[in-house]
Formats: sequence, C-alpha cells, structure tokens
Amino acid sequence: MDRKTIFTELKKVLAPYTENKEMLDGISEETDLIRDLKINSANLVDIIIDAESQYNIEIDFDSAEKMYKVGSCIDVIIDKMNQSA
Amino acid sequence: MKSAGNDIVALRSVDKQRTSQFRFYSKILSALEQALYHQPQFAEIPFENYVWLLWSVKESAYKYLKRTIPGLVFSPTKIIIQHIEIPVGPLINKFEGIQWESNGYSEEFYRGKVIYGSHTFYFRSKISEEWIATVVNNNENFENVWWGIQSIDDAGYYHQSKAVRTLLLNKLNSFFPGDLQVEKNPVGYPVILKDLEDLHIPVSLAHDDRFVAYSFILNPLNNS
Amino acid sequence: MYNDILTYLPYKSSFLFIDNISALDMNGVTGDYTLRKDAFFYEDHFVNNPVTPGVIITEIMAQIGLVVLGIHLIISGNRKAGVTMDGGSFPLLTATDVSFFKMVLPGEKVIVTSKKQYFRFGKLKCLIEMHNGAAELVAKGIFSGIIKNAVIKK
Repeated sequence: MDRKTIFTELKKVLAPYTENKEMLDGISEETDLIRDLKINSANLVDIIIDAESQYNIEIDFDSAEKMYKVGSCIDVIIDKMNQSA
Repeated sequence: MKSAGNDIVALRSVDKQRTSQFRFYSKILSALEQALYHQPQFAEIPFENYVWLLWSVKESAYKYLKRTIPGLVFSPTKIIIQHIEIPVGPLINKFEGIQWESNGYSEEFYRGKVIYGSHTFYFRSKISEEWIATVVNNNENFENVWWGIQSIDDAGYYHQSKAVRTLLLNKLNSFFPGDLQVEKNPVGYPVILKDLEDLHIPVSLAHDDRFVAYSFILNPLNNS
Repeated sequence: MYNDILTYLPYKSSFLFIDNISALDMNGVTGDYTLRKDAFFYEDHFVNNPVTPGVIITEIMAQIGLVVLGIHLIISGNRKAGVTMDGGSFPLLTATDVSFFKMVLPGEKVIVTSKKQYFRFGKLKCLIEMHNGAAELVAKGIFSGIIKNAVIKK
C-alpha cells in the first residue's frame, strides 16, 4: 500500500473526530491533528485504535506519541505494516 | 517557574465499551495504574471514570509541563499517578447547574500525586454525572489555585473557545479591572495581557463537548 | 434594620453589592441586592445579551454572607468602644466552592442567606445560598475567609 492511499484512507479515520470537515479536504502531511484540525486530544487514542483496526497492526507507546501530525501518522502506519508483513 | 494545567472530559462523549478494552486503556494507564484500580477504595468507582480521571490528571500535568518544556509530546503512560485519595463525601457530584468555581478546598475532591521524570505534581479532581475535571499544581497547597467550569449550549469549536475565554477573563477581571486579553504564545499556551502587557499569570484552558474549564494560579495578596 | 453595619465595609460604591441586611445574628445573615442595569460588567458580558457574570454573583454572596457576618462577629460587644475597620481587618476570602443554577439579569433582585458552619481561630466558614425574586435557587456554595482583628480605638 502506498503513501498516497494511506493518506486518503487516513482522512476517513480522522473524519469522525474533526468538526471542521472542509478543513479535512485541505490537509497535508504537515497538518497537526490537535492544533490545525481541532481534534480533541482525548480522541487521539481513538484514532490510534481505529488505525490499528484498519491496518491490522499494533501501535506501541513510543510510536503512538509520534502520531500528532498527518505525515507522522502515515510513517508509523507504514512502519508497522512492514513489521507485520 | 509557575505554571498551570487543567483538563475537562465530557462523559457523554466517552465510549464506555471502548474504554473498557485492554488495547484502549493500556495506551493511557501504566501497568501499575491498572493494578491500582483493584484497591478496595475504588470498588465503587466505575472503570471508565477511573480511566478518564487518570487521563485528565495526565493531560493537566502535560499542560503544566509544556510551559517549561516546549518540545514535550503528550505520552500518557509516561506521566504516572502514584497516589490517589477519594473524596470525603459523594464520589459523583450532581451538576444541575450552569457553572461551578472553586479555590482552596481539598477534602471534597479526588486528590493525589503525579510524577513525570523528576517532576512532581499534585492534583485535585471533581467528578460529576456529566464531566471529570482536574487541576494540577506543583505544591500541595491549592489556596492560590482557581478553577471553574461552565456548561454551554453550543459544542462547536469556535463557540467553546470563545466561551472559555469569556469565563476566564470575567474571573480575572475581578482581580485586574481593565482591558484583558487572552493570546496564545508560539508554544501554544495561553498568556494574559492587560493593556497589551503580559501579566505573567499562568492560566490553562480546556473544553470538551458542552463544557469549558479554566484554571490559574494567583495569590490575590501579592497582586493587590 | 441592620444597615448600620454597612458603614464598616471597606468597599467603594461601584463594588459594594449590598442594599439591605434584613436579618443578622451570631449564626447567620440575610441580605439583598438589586443588580444595577448600568453596571460596568454588563457592557462586555455579553454584547447585546447582558447576563450577570458568575464572579459578580460570587462577590455578592461573599459580601453579604461572609464579610457582613464576619464583621458582625468581630465587632459585636465592641460597638460602643469605637471599632474601626481598615484594609487589613476585613474578612479575606480564602476558599470558595460555588455552583450556579440560574442566570441573573440586569435589574433583578437577589436575596442571600448565609449560615455559619464554624468560626474558629479567626477562620469563618459559611454555607451561602442566593435566591431570586421568584424564590428560585440561583447559586449555592461554601465560602471560607480569614478575619484579622479589628482595631479598637480607645
């Protein structure tokens, strides 16, 4: 699975937790989940769990703490998929 | 350096079922904190309240630390709650009102100690049927810690943001009459300006769903 | 009836939130205040939708329920001796825990009732309630303050 596909799918994962759906269309890898997308930090764990289910991976603490930008989320997902493959 | 940290969790937006799954709560609670729940004093506290109580303490401590460690990333399992005491009185308060505020009281709250590396904090939390709210301080004396909560009609982000600022500035205005403003500094924490000068009052803001909350540290005697 | 105690209060008129003290003894106090429509805090709170801020409600409760009662507790028995109050001798609010239930609009009259929980070692703790003209509960809370000794003029 390539980076672009994950990027598109990640928008769907984030959608339930963002209020500003239009903003989601304009995101880039540099978009900060909390600061830019106004996602409540209490939902970060939900996003990690949803990503785990979507890609059948397990995200450990050290990786989870990197997942505050769209780009770093994709990095972690690719990294974990390669590990489990 | 003096700082401030608070958090509020709206219980309506909590997914109880998901919270009770190991793969969820193990990303928030350390193994020791998971074990701590089985102490008899927590027997009457629902597990989801326990998880989100600890979450709110960790998030509050993170906000407190962020002022001194700007590059800090929130990692819940690294901020560790060492000790929790439950309130004298009801474990869950009825919150039929529209607003609540407090400073100084202790035995009516959940209270305890939290550590991050070599940093030690103390917390006070209050649980109502609708929310869990926490405030932290670097000292066990909460006399100069002010915190308040308000319920709002509109849970939209921009409305929350405006409502929490109005609530805070009204409270601060009773100590500092005049034109006050809340600005965010580049690291992301709020600063209070009076006539465009930084008042150097550590404040912390939080919102979730239909609830907004503030906290700040102020000794009224030093400022009057 | 008990309004002579108001002369001991150290507030200026724009920050004095007491009109009447209708009952006062060693265990409690009742008083009222009518919110002025032109009060300074309605200008911004909120624009075109004035509502009394919670902090003002707290201040009204503290002035009637804690400050008036506190001053009464210090000066009773000493009134004839000529007690004066200065900035250092009125009750200082040290802890509050207040819940608000109803909004108060400009022009509304509010009634504050305070019951002393204890007065020990200069610390006064009261349970204070505020009702509106329709006898609905507006706010309720616990207030504590420290009272330093008043200066008694010889």
